[in-house]
Amino acid sequence: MLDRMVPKADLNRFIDRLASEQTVAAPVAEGPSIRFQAIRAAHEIAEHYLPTALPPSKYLLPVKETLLQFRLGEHIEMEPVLEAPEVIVFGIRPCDLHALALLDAIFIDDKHDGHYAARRRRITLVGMECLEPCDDRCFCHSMETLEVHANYDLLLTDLGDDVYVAVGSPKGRDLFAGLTGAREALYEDRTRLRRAHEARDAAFTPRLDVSFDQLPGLLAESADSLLWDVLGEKCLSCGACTNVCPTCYCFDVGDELDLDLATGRRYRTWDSCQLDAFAMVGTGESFRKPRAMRVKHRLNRKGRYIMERYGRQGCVGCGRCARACLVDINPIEVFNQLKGQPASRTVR
Amino acid sequence: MNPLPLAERRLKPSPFLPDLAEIIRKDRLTATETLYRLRLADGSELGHTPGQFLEVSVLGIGEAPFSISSSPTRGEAFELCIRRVGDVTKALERLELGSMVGVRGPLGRGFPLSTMRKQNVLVIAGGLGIVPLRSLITNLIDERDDFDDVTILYGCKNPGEMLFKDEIAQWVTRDDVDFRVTTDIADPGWKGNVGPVTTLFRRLEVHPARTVPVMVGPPVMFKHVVKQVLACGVPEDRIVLSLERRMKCGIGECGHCQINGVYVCQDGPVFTYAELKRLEEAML
Ligand SMILES: Cc1cc2nc3c(=O)[nH]c(=O)nc-3n(C[C@H](O)[C@H](O)[C@H](O)COP(=O)(O)OP(=O)(O)OC[C@H]3O[C@@H](n4cnc5c(N)ncnc54)[C@H](O)[C@@H]3O)c2cc1C
Ligand code: SF4
Ligand code: SF4
Ligand code: FES
Repeated sequence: MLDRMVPKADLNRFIDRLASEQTVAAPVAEGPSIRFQAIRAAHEIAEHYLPTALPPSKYLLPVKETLLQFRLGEHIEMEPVLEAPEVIVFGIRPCDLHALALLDAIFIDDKHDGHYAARRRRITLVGMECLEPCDDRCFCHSMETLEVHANYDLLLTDLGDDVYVAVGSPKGRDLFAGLTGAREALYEDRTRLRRAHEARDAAFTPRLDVSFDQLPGLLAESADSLLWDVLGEKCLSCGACTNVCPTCYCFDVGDELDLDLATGRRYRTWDSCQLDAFAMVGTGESFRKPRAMRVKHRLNRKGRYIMERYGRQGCVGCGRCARACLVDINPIEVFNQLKGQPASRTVR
Repeated sequence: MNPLPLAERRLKPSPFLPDLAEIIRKDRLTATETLYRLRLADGSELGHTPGQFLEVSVLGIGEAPFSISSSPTRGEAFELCIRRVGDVTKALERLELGSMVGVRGPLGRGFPLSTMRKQNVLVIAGGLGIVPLRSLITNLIDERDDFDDVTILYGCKNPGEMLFKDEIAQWVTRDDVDFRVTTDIADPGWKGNVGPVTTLFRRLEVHPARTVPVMVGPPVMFKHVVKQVLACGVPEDRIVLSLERRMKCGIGECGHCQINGVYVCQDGPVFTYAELKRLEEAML
């Protein structure tokens, strides 16, 4: 599909118009943090931003989502609820696009989860390339999630006064058809894009001492590392890291009845493997009681289990968990420390 | 009623939408366990393998996983044996005959019947572990000629907790099944063996190359019994066990049942020891 070039001013007018006609969400500065929110005009979009506090995956797996509704009585009636609002999400960073591609692979390709699939059909993903590192916690370069070549409808690159628009799907093409001021990207535009990419590649440096595809092996070797005990001592089991992670998708399921005690619904809500009760069974036994085991489980899911099962990065290096953690548990440090002391039961 | 083919029944907009099943019989087995007989409301067969489980819903209260306790050889109705512990299990007890519950499944991987054919099968049950194993035992008995020696070891805490007493009485009288039972604590009427299930191994001859041991029970039982069958020389990939973990979705999504990278709901609940021994969270 043919890429486009558009002056920024025209793009902003286009976003203004879109936002007046339908739901458009974008990163908005809210005090010190940046959040994806519905906007009414382009000027509300945060200019420079770190990864948002919460990942855009909340549009596909909301904090609480109704799965079924039912009516009790002589004949039980029940039906699935596919809540799927139409939304255009602007300004998704490449790391988050990679995370969404992982969720697609799990929830659509593997699980055929109609709830997720319905939302996914009605969301339009407009990416925004990163040209410089956001802070010292991000490590997308090492996870190879800085570049993105698929799983977006449109991908924007800021080239100063102009924006380069890579078209990733018919949906993206159609959305952009209504944009005045845009023209087909020419050879010289692609040259400008390439230069921007070269500058970007020079600005990002590896943060991990291993490549992302060595993480599964490293973590497998490090099962007995004392580092897990050290981290277990520090961790507060607050679950902040899993709440902000774009590739965390664990959930709990529950029922609620209306006051008439006849109608109700079944829903799913975010859950966290860092919480004590997560793996508890009927006999009151918890299969992952020590905090060290829980921290280890999370980082193994991120660096190893998901990769082994789905062949994709289970961590996209966005750094959100490190920014959210009150005691500075940071995957960059964890992975590098494991690399520095492989297979041994020594630490630091 | 025209039964719906299985594949069609499963083609659903939501993996969380249950089928309705009617409670057609309820038998109280002990102070805390009840045996439920159910039939799918659309008249179709469950189509399960012994060792698989169902997610059972009391709508408005919740959903919980339960092993299917009946054998697929016994027609379209199926049975669940449920211990009262919390919200869903208490709500189930209050339901009357004719009530409808939701069921999703059969879910998970069941016992490897094909590996057991023409082999000796050594069934080891601890406590509630007899519930899924009853499905296997009934299947073994119904297709008895397909299997060589069938030995069943069953251990419970005390004689009052013993489940399926009527069936056990029949198994005991069969000469093509070697059934042995023990309790941790005897009561005045008890004349049988006393001690953990491992004590039943004493007078048992196990042919390591021809035997498939299948065990379901609490984590402490696994530790000891696995050691015992390994000591008999049974290869690790022929030792079969079924695990219990917290489950919510039953389809490998929600993460609750995970043992390291393995999803018990989807990859299990039945595993070989070879598959589990390197997973420290399996606690074997
Ligand atoms: C594969 C599998 C097969 C099972 N088969 C049987 C069976 O045949 N018969 C039987 O009686 N029980 C069986 N169980 C256990 C049964 O699922 C739990 O007893 C049941 O979930 C408790 O539900 P509740 O709503 O009554 O209890 P709750 O009110 O939910 O809680 C009571 C206690 O159960 C724990 N619990 C909550 N949800 C679960 C869950 N999903 N899994 C395990 N523990 C949980 C809680 O931590 C709490 O300690 C099986 C479990 C699994 C995973
Ligand atoms: S583990 Fe941390 S760095 Fe990796 S994707 Fe999740 S939040 Fe981002
Ligand atoms: S945010 Fe930090 S303290 Fe909280 S659970 Fe995660 S690692 Fe532990
Ligand atoms: S029960 Fe949800 S992943 Fe296994």
